[in-house]
Amino acid sequence: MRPLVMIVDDESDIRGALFDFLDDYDEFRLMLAESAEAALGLLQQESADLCIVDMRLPGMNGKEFIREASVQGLCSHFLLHTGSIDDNLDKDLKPFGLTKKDLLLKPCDNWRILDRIRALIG
Amino acid sequence: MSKVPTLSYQVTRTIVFTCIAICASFLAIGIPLELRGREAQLKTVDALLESITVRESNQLANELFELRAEASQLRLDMILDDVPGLLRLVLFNHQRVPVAHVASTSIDPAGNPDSILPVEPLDAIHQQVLTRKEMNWGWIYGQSRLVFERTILVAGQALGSLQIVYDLGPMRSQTISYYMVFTGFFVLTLGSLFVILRRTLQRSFIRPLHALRDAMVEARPEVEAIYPKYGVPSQEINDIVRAYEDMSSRLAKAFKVIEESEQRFRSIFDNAPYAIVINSFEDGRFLDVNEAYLNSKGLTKEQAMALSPKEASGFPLDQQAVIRDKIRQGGLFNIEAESERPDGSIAYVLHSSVPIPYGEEEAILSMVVDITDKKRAELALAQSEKKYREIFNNAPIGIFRTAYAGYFIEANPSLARMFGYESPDQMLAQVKDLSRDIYPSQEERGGFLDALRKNPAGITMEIEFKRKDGTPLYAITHASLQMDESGKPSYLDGTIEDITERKRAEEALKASERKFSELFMLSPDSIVLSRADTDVILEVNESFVTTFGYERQEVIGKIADEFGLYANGKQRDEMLRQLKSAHGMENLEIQLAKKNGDGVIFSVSGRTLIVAGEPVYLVIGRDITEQKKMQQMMVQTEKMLSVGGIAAGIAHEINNPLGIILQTAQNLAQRTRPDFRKNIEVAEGIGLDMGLLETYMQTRGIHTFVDNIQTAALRAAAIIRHMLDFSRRSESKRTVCDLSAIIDKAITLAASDYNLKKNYDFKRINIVRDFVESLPPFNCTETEIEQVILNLLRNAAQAMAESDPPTVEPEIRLSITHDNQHIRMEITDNGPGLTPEVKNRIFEPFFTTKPTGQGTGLGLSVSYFIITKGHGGTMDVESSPGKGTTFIIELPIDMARTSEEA
Repeated sequence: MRPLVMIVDDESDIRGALFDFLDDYDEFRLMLAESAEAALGLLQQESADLCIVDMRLPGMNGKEFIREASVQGLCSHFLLHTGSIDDNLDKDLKPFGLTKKDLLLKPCDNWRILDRIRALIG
Repeated sequence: MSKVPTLSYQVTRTIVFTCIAICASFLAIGIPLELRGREAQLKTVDALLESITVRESNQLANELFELRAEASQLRLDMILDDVPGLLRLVLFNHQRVPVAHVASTSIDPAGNPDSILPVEPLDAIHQQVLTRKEMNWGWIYGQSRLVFERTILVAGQALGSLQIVYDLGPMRSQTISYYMVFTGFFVLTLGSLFVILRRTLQRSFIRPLHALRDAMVEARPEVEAIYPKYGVPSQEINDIVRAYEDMSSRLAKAFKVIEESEQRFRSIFDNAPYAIVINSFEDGRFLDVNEAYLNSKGLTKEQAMALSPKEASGFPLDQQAVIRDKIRQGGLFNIEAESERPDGSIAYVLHSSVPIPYGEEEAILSMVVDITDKKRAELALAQSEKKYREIFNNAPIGIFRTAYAGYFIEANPSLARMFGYESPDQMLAQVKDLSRDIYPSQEERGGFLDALRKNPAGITMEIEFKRKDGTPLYAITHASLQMDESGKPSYLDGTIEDITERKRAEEALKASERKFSELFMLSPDSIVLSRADTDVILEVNESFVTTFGYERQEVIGKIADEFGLYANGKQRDEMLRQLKSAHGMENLEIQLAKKNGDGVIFSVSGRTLIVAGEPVYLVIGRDITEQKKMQQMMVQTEKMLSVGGIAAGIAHEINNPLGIILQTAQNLAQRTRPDFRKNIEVAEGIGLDMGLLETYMQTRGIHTFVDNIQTAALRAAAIIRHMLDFSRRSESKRTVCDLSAIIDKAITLAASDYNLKKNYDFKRINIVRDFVESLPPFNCTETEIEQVILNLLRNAAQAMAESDPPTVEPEIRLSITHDNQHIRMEITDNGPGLTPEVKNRIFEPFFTTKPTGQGTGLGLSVSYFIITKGHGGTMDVESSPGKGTTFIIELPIDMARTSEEA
């Protein structure tokens, strides 16, 4: 079974663009959520292999989602897809296996995201 | 009219005639009586003489016979002595010759017989005397003497004759005295009669007549003009008749008049607008009332007539008695009383009562006039009077009336207080002579009066008076002069306003004005006074003159526009608009021009003042050109600082759509790739030849479009990232820096800059280093300062390269100086320089003069931020077109504090 990738972003166009891009490769199963809370709800049914998470989200933010999903064992890998301009990874996220490479600053090249997904779960 | 004799005259005449008649009758009776008496007397004398002759006849005959002359003489003497009254005795002989004669000595002392009459026989002197021949005697010499002659007969024979002259004088004088007494008595009687009659008549007849006449004449003076109808018995009677006629005609008229009067009275009584009633004197009941009374009481005549005496009079009985007494004494006149109207309101009435006969009865006629309106008017007048009196008394200014002659007629309390008197009464009592008591000197009032005479209708003068205690009272006096009937000045009316305090305040104000005048002149701010209506400048102060470089006379009397003070017409209009507004002008920034053309920025405030009654603009301005520059810099700094704050926030928001743009563009690129498996599958499914599509895409340049989208999105992302760089610089480490080394490194970097090299060879620029030796050590973030200098070098090079015409000998001068607190670095090029507009905005983020795409507009902003925020220094630029540009950076030497903060 192809790995499950969850995209959590409150901006539907970004969710859509990533879905359309990644879906073309037929390598992943893709799941979309517009908030951390919705994503956690979906992940209760099936754990994801990787979550692409926006930092600024309504309600629970990206960082909290990563902590929560990680603690609950709902996802193994995380990519932080953020509009922030700070290219330093928050230290708090390191315990959840994120490195600087997992920090994707918007606007981010699609192929770079694809490369990183493949590298993590390919 | 012929003169008619008066009655008095006629009476007198009548009496006189009566007297004359009485006299005549007396004479008629008296004279015969007297003559008869006289005859008797003469007979007596004749008898006497006869007897003498008889007695002596014998003796004398003897003598004659014997011719004894001497004896005869003696004999005659004896007779003469013997018989009184004999004047002469003459004895004739028979030949009629005088034999002897004697004469009385009472006739002739010498006894000359001829002195009486010639000694002749009686017949010889017959013709001389009136005689009675039968009696042989006659009147001689006016009847005063009697001549008697008798023949002496002896025995019938005539021997001679004796002639005797008898003195009739005593008898005659007796007769005369009788007549005189009688006449006197008679005259007396007549006189008395005349007087008594006249007086009696006058008193009891003429005078009463006169009185009657006079009374009538007096009653009707015009009576004299009436021509007498009858004869003219006398003036008085005439007058009386005429007067009587007149009187009777008047009586006739009078009766008519009385009748008319009666009618009139009735008409008046009935129709008079005043209530008129007639009461019985006895018990006060109504005898008659008129319509007005009935109307005023709301009664019918029957009701009124049926009223009881008390109700009728309206007074209690005891009062009625008193009132009646007064009426009996002549009447009550205009007694004011209150009376109730039918509607219950109170009317004021004026009540008069007089006694009148009413038929057989005594009655009272009363008239009642409703004076409510008049009373109200009087009350209103009294109130008005009171009101004006109160105004007079309460007015805070002094009000007076003074006699022209110089004393108070009236003064109000304020005036008294003003002059230090306790009350107007005290003032009037103590001020006897105005010029002495309330003026500082006697002459002062004269001037005031002179002015008043010239303008009696009213003058206003400021006058110094003298108070009771001698202190001065400054006052504004308004006064008018009133004249008497003959046009002479009579009295003055006016007001006095105490301006002593104001006067003091004015003195203080003058002192203050001097002070403010100095302040005006010496104020460091420029001050301009101008007329509000014409904008003509009245005065400027020293600061204005020095600041703008004009001579004072170049601006005073001119309008600011004439010498080009305003650099901007719109600002000038705005300034004038604010000046005219109620709040005046507060800190308006305005561009002005000095005489030499230099522009300055002024902060001006202004107000409209009233100077000498004219509205005047006072405008105070301060040169804030430098301050403004500073302020602009501050604003710049603020802008830059805020960029850091907001950038992080907006960057995130912008990056999201940029992500959409980039990623969807990439999706577009991917989904049009002819070699992508998914694309081929889909194309085959719909029968699309991917080769053809690719050809089409390339032919139409669609890939390029998509690429451009991607590039633009990335560039935008880069800009944002770049812009936000400095928010991350704070983490840079500060170390002790060698500024000259940093500059050298920056120059090296600039020379190797690829982008720059494309346009211009940096090596052609003459770099001048002007560094002071032994700079004090200071802290900085080396890379940041390097970035700033590199940025400035790049900009300078670019500007010189792109200038048109190109700078012939491009040069960049870098200098470093320092003082105790700062290191100062100046980087100067000799390029085209900056226009003021560019210069003002040069540090603004995203402001750029470079072609689109070549610059982010953030280079200098970031530099500015690095210097001011990162290092606590200042960064400024000086430039003007054609004169190159100098950037000045000052960095504080002691960076320890700022380092720690960072």
